[in-house]
Amino acid sequence: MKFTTFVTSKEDILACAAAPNLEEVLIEPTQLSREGRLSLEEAESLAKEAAQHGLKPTLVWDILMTETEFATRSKLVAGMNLELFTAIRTQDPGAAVWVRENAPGTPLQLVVENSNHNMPALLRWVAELRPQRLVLSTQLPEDKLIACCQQLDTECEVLGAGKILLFYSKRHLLQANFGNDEDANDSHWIYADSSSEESASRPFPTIENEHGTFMYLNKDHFILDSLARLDAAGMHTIRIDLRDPQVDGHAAQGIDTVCAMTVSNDPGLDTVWTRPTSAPFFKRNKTDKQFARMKPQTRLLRDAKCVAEVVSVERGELLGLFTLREFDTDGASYKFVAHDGSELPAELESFSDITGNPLTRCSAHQVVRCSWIKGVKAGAILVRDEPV
Amino acid sequence: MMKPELLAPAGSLEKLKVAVLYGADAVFFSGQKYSLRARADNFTLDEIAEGVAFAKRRGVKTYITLNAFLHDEDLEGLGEFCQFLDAQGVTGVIVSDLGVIDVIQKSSKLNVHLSTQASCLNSASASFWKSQGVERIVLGREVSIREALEIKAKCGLEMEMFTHGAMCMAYSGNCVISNYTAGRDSNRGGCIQSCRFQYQQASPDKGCSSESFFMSSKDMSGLEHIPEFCDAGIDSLKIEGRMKSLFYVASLCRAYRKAIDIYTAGEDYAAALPELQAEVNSIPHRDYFGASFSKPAGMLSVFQDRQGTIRSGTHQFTGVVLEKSDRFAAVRLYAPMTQDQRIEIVPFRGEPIPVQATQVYDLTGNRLASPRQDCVVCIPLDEQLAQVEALNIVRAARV
Repeated sequence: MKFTTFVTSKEDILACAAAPNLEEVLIEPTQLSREGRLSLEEAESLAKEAAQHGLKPTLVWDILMTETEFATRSKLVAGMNLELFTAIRTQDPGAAVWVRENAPGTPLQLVVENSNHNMPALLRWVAELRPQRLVLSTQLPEDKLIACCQQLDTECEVLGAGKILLFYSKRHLLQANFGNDEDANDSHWIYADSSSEESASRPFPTIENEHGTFMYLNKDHFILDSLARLDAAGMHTIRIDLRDPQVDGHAAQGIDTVCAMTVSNDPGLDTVWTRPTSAPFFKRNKTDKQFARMKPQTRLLRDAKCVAEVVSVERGELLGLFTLREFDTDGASYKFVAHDGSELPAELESFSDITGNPLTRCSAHQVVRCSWIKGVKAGAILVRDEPV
Repeated sequence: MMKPELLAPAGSLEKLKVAVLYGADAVFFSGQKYSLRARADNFTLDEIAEGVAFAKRRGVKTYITLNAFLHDEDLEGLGEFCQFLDAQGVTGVIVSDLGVIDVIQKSSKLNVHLSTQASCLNSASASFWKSQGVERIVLGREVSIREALEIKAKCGLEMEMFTHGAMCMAYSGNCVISNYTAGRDSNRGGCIQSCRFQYQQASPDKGCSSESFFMSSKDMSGLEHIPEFCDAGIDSLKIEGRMKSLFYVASLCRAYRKAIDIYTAGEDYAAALPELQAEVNSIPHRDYFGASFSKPAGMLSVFQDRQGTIRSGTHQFTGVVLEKSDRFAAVRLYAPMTQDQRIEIVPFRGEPIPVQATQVYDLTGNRLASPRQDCVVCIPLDEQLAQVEALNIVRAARV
């Protein structure tokens, strides 16, 4: 298992060169990368520096781009000396296609972190774009990550430690509160902590730059102390992200220590990582478990057995039903099912239409009057009570 | 001139029928699984069959949303569901996830449209999706009309753009705040709308703090841009809002139906615009803005008010006509009526019919002075109300 990390300076390169199992560095030009702080020239210069220290430099082009931006940014990439880079990392499928068509000799690292969570999708990304590597989601639990390593015919990477991106918008959302005239330029960078009324004790680091606004979880993802199974399964690369969005400077200081302690399973590793940490989905992802409770209990009963909905209750006198399909008013057994799923037997009689004509059979989409039943409320449904 | 399709949301079977009857060319809705609106009523299999048949009889297309980003275990049953949809004759499915596309293509012949949730923003990306068998792109809401035209010209796919409704502040599919703060997967239908919360912000380097709704977007309205959409040859104009009311669906279908028809008929669109805007202002909404239709959404696109202060609209949703007999219109009330309130019954075509509700009866035949909500009232029909039909919306001007 290898490590990768972001670099912004020669000092970072030196730290990476000293780090065990770290053979690759991620270089982010401002104009191409979400959190880039380097000019294109600086990026190229840093790539040369990395190569001189035996490190493989990967160009990070991970912004999303509308058509106009895509035309501009792809021209910039075309103008770069791509031979300096051993791979290009993209998220936008358009950028991936561009790399495939215009830099066929440069391996593609495809970021599929944003909600690519099933094997058919991942297999197809690999089959169609033939990436050197897939950068997998932190929402995939360990067992799924292991399955990816075993089933995908490409290198797999996952974040081992670092910021979790929660929100990526094209709009500039901090300028209104924190900007000034200088912040209108392309290289501006605004930082703020944002705490919502629902999470007052959790300030989410938020940045705005030329690419839009990015919000991060208040805790770093951290699984560096739990890599054994992933390593055994063949996880190719673990990304360690030491970038501090508040600081424009080095991005990999201390990477040698973190890598060394990870490799040696040093129990003191979590004390070296000073920011609060979490890995909420590494063991299990249960982010769909609440869904069943979010629906009215009657929803799934609206099938062929559901014949009407209660639309009016005249207490002590009658119920108004709106029929959903034809049904006989006698000879069948019915029950009412309320929003909360509770049931009441429906001993209905005295059916009539809205003008008072008696009914023995109700048509579909008709308002029907029938006898009042205590406890039945508007919104309840009338269901044929057939044995299961 | 090519008329763009008017595509309306149908969060329930009743909303589907209302959308169709008020002029939608196509409707989008979902089953109980695989979609992004876990809290919407959505459709049972029987309701899907009924909804598709209802739409087909009127020449209206049906698209089923399968636009959640699924985990492996969520894929269970998807193939069978696609076969069911295929058998019903749905026009297409709206999908975000390449794995879902894979299952669809292996189990059915359904047309695949790429959901806006996949944030397809440029022609190279569109070309990739075309190579995957996608026939239409629902573009990311960051794309301008001019860019959409370019993308269409370069990739040759049908282009669909959202033209009205609430919108994500993030690139769609690129917000997971709910996942990490509430344990609900926003990309599987569990979004808690964290972007609508108020945030306390502090900037250490700027030395200041602020309270604001900085992530809450105004609602988009493309009414002013209908000529540009039509001239650009955008294939489908979509109204957001499967969770919204019957009133919302009816009012927007009416407004956008008229807008498209007026412009493509070569009539004076500028002259018609105030009346069309009045229609979209009749429903509850956040402040409207022109999204990124002509220029990127800027700082003025943020809706700084609480959700509770959403503009209430010029009209109140009073009810819906459930049935018309030879003597009465039976109206289900969603809001109480006041004594002698002046209401309007909104026909599928034509001007709203004013009704002075002096004679309103409950189902027992008793005359009501001030009917409560959540009941059915009967309004006697007269000559003026002869054109009232079932599923007409009833509204009242707010005082």
